[in-house]
Formats: sequence, structure tokens, C-alpha cells
Amino acid sequence: MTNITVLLLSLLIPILLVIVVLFVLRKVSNKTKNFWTLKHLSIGITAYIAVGLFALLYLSFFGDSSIQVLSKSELKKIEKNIESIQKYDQEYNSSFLTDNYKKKTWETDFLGGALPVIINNADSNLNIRHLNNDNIPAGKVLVTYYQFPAIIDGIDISDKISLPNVYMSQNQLWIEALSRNEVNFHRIKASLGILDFNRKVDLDDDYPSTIFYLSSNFIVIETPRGTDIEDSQGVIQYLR
Amino acid sequence: MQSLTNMSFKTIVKKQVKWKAKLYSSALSSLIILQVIFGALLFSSGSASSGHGRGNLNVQFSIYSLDMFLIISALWAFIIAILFTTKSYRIDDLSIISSRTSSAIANILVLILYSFIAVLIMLASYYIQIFGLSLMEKDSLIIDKLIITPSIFIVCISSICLFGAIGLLFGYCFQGPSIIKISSIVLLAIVIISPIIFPDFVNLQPFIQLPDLLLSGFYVIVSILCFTLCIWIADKSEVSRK
Amino acid sequence: MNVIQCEKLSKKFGRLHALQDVTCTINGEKIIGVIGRNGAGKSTLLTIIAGFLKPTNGSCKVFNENSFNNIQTAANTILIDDRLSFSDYLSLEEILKMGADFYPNWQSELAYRLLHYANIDLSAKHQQLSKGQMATFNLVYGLVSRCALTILDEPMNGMDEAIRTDFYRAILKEYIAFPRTILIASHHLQEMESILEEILLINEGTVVTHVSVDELKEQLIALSGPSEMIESLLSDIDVYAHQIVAGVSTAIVDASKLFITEEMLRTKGITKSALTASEICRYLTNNKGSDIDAIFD
Repeated sequence: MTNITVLLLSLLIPILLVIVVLFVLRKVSNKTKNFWTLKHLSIGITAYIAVGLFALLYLSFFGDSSIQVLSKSELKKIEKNIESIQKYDQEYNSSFLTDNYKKKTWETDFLGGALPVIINNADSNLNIRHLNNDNIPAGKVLVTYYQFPAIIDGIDISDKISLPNVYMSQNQLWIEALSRNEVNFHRIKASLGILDFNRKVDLDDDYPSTIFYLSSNFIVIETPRGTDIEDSQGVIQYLR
Repeated sequence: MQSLTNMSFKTIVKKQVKWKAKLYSSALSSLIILQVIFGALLFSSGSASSGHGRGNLNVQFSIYSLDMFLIISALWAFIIAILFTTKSYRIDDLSIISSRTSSAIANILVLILYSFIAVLIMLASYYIQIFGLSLMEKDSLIIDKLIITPSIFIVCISSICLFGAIGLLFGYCFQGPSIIKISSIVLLAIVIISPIIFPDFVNLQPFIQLPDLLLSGFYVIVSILCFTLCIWIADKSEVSRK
Repeated sequence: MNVIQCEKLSKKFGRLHALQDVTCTINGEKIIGVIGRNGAGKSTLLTIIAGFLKPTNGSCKVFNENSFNNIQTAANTILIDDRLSFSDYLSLEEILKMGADFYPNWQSELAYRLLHYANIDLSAKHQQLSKGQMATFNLVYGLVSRCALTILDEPMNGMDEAIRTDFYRAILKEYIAFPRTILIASHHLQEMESILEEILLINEGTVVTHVSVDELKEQLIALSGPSEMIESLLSDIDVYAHQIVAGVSTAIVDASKLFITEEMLRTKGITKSALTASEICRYLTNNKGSDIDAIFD
């Protein structure tokens, strides 16, 4: 189906609906003319517009949504930040793992000198890193989940990303990524989507509205020095 | 001999506009009802949606923009403009001082006025819908742009006016002299069939890429052309109460 | 200035010739009856005069300008017929307000008095009125607008006899108060004869005659007497109708062609009697020689 045929059809259905509604209204209006005189009609129309105006005023002053759309400069900053994280990560430098990105920490015990780690749902792109920490006593392991900003269409949805499941079983550390999580948002845009969509190519391309790289989150397994990780699946990278 | 009344054309048109704007106001109320119906139908889904899936997360955005309300308003304008040219409205014009030309100009002015009011109604419907949404879905609400920009406002008025102008021209063509009726049918057939047979010939992209004000300007020019044709046809049209 | 001037006016609707070569002039302020049978073309002529239809051929000038789609014609002309319509959002009172807004000579007070007299509720809608009430309202609307050319197309259709009589008087009184040119198309010539000055008789799309009422009455006379005597006269003159009942013959003839004195008629035993304007119009528009009785014979 060509674009024009689709366009014509997509106009045809609303136009039919509009005609049907107007036709029904015409039939009904003959009976309602007693109440809906010209004066009442004008009052009704004015009142409707006034209600809309009040709705707008309310939304302007009180309608703060908890979710902020990030500005161009903020997005640029985040992008730079993520790029530097990637750089550090590639250089096996753990200094990017700062406390403000810590989401959750699990502490658990294990026996033996080597810790087998099993990752479930490996295709969900979990970034697993291993760090030796002198401050951890022997027989303990610390697993920390770090979540960095994940931007989709200008929104940071990092807090909607579900945390993995971390537990010890049969002296093995299990890290499970949860199954697909669906999040719904309602975006208010007082503009014409048709125009915006077709003009997207002309937009300023020097800032990305979607920054959702694979390195948005990290699971760091911290073990005391001397404890090895048994990475049978070969997905764990070492950090200094 | 009693002296003849010498009323200026402008005065007569002004009076006709005044009365028509009042008498045709049921058209505006029908627009409100249309928008309430469509607003309610598309309350949960919005005008459009986009989805992104990354890893184990699937993010769905329901976008609430003005598109749907604008399309409904434009289609409404098209239909009511045709209705303005139907017999029942035309013969009412014969009961007061009017000529076909003055009635056509009055219809045009009323249509332009109604286009402006239609945009206000459209915005009211939009904001009422958003208000309802903000009460029900407070946590998942993202406000990209709340206040409409003046240029988009003008695009909306000019689009609605354009559809109204095309509808009015349509209507006048079918009420006009036979030769105009026949040529309109032929022209209409060509306009509908050619995009289907030659899809590549019709390309709307360049128009959409225009900046808002230029796009509005283009719509205004086409509307003026349609209105001029309406007046020309009306000038030649006969009307009879029978 | 001529109020109306039609010059070889013709109007065709597809194959139907509604008007053919109509030439007539109406000047000055007077009440003129436009008389004709059903389908004669009266309404078409009046609609063209009002500027709603365009002549196929010829011209129609009202106040020295072509009437079609002319705003000055519209400002000074009003056409009232049974299809006069208003928005159904307006009550009669609001219709009167609208009329007052448009027509500069509008008489609001008179309108209220006339409608009150006719017992018409002003809060009703135009579409809710009975046929007679609607005709009354329409006529009042036309009269109080005081347009220089007021055209009434069968204004009394549906009105009862009492109100018809009243409103013929109302037309006359309004005319006296504000002289204007009033064209009344009607079938009821005998009822309105008293208020008419001129008659424009139309038949099959052409003007049969356009004369004053008095002149019309002199156009035809009825001659009755013994058949043989009547027959001998009929050979020389136009006969519009001829009837024989029990040996007595009655013939309607063109008075101008009758070159015979009253004396001569009396000797032949023929009596001459005048006809009413209505009868004259009927005979002038009859197909010569035909009558309804022949169908049933």
C-alpha cells in the first residue's frame, strides 16, 4: 500500500465517523432546540473554552510532573559522562564507580577460595565486573549494583530498570536479570506530531535524546584479595 | 415616489455576518461534542505512541499532541462549510436583504471566525483531556511542551480555515450553474484518482518541511484562492425557494 | 423611473419554457395583480424580478438596474411566498428583530399589532405555525418591511376567509400610509379586485394583457340571445366562449371588435352584459373553444 493510499484511508475513517456524529446530532438537535437556544449555545461554548483555560492554568501552576525532561545541556553532560565511564571501564579503571550511582548492595558469605558465579539471562546485557577489595574480610562477598543515567527520548528511566536478583545457592553466586519489564509513560506535547515527525531530520543533531548504552549499569562483585571468581560463562571483567 | 433605500454592500455583509455567526453556532457546539467523543475515545492511548526496547526494559510512550483534535476540527470545518451552501441555509438568506455575493462573503467571514473559535475549542478539549490525565496518571506524566507556540496556533487556524475553504468551494460548485457542476465533478475525479495511479507524483514532504509560518502562509493563499472562486461562482448562481 | 422593465424576457428550465418574450413596464406606486392559471409562469416572473433567477434571454430591470443578484434590488424589494423560511433557532419575535435590523423602513409596532390581531403567538417558531398563520406572518413581514417593491406571491394561501378580508384591507391601508409598488399574484382575483389598480395577465409564459382593472372589464362582454341571432354575429368577431342552453346561446366576445350598436342588439333580441374581471381573465386564458363540459359529454 502506497503512502498516499494509506493517507487517504486514514482520513476516510475519521471523516466517516465525523459525518455519522454530525448526522446524529442534527437529528437530536431538533428535539433539544427548546433548551439549547442560541443564547444557551453561546454560553455553553464560552463556558467550555473557559474550562479549558482553567485546565491550562491549573496544569501550568500545579501540574508538575515528577518526571523531568532533560535539557540539551544536561543531555550533553550525561553523554560525556557515559563516554568517560566507558573509557574508564575499557581501561579497567574502577574510579567511575562512585557512591551516588549505587543502587543496591548485597552482602553474602561463601566457602572456599574461589567463588563460582552464574549469570542467568546472560542475553540481557548485564555488565559484570570483579573488584578486589582489601577491606572485605575473607569468606564474604559484596555485590553492588550501579545504575548510571539511561536516557530514552530525553527521559531518564534509570529508576525504572528493575534490579537483578542476587543470591547464594549451593555456594554459588547467582545473578539473575529479571524478565522483561514494561513501563508506560504519557507525554504531553502541545504541538503537531505530523510536523515534528517529518521535520526531525532537520533537528539539531549535536545532542542525543536517547543515551542508553550497554554501559548504563554495572554489577560489581567485590571479593577479598586472593579470592578468585570462577567465571564459567566468560562474562566477568576485572577492574582495578 | 418614495426614495429608494441605498444600503452599502459593506453594511449588508456586516449585518449578515452578525446574524449568521449567531444562527450557525450549533456548528460550534457540534464541534465540542465531536472533540469530547474523540478525546474520550483516545484518552488512554493519546494521538500517537512510540516504543523502545532495551535489554529487559520495554518503554512505551503514549504521546498526547494536538494532531487528532486538529484533524477532527479540519474535517468538521470541511463538512459544515458544505452545509452552509445547502438549500436550507441559502433560502434563509432570501428572507433578508442579501445577494448571492453578499451571502457568500458573509459565509466566508463566518467560516474564518469559526476557524479561530474552533482552535480555541480544540485547545480547550486538549487541555481538559490533559487535566483528566494528570489526575488519573500522575506518576507517569511527562510534560514536554504544555503551552502551544503562536506559530503552531496560526498553523492550526490556517489549516482549519483551509479545509473550510475547500468545503465551501465544493458546496458552491455543486450549487452553481450546470457547467461548473460538471467541471467540478470531473476535476474531483482527477484529484482523487491520480494520487492512486501516480503515487510518486504527489509529494507532500516539501510542504511539511516548511517552517510553520510559511506553511500557514501557503494555506492562507490557497484559502484565499478558494474563497475568491466561491464568490465568483456565487455571483453566477441562481437560487429558488422551490 | 420605471420600477420594473422587462424586455423580451424568457426563462427556460431545461426543455420547459416558463416565460417567453415577456415585455412589460411597471411604473409608479400602485397595486398590481399578477393573474394567471397554475403553471402560467407568474412565480417564475416574480422570482426573476426579485433577482433570484437569471433570465435565459432578454432583460429584467428593477429600478433601472438588472435585478439578478443585485444588492440594490435586494435592498428595495421583498418577495413573500409560502416558502419564506427562517432559521429554526429564531422565534417569531426574534425574526421581527432581524427584519428590523435589515430593513430601514421596518415598522415594528405595526408588526406587533397586526400579529396580535391575528392571534399569533410571537414566542412560537416559524415552522410550528399552521399554514394560515404562516401565511399571515409572512404577509405581515412583507408589509412592515415597507420595501419600494413588495411582491406577494399568493399571500392568502391557507388563510381563512375572515382574515383574508382583513388583510386585503391591511394591504390597502399600508399602501395608503406608505405608497409603494405592490405586485400581488393570486388566484382569487374577485376578492382583491377592489384594491388593484392594474392587472398583468399571464398565460403559458406570455403576457396576455397589462391594463387597468377598468380597461380589463371593458375587454370582453357576454352576449346572450336566440342562437341564430348570436351565430350571425359570431362570424366576424373573436369568440372566447360559446354555450347553448335550451335554445339560448351565450357568447363571450371581444368588446373592441363588436361594431354593432345597442339598438341593433336589442332588435335582434340579444342582451349584452358585463363580466367581472375574474371572468374576463378566465376567458382570456382559456384554450379557445374548449370547456370542461365537453369532456363529460
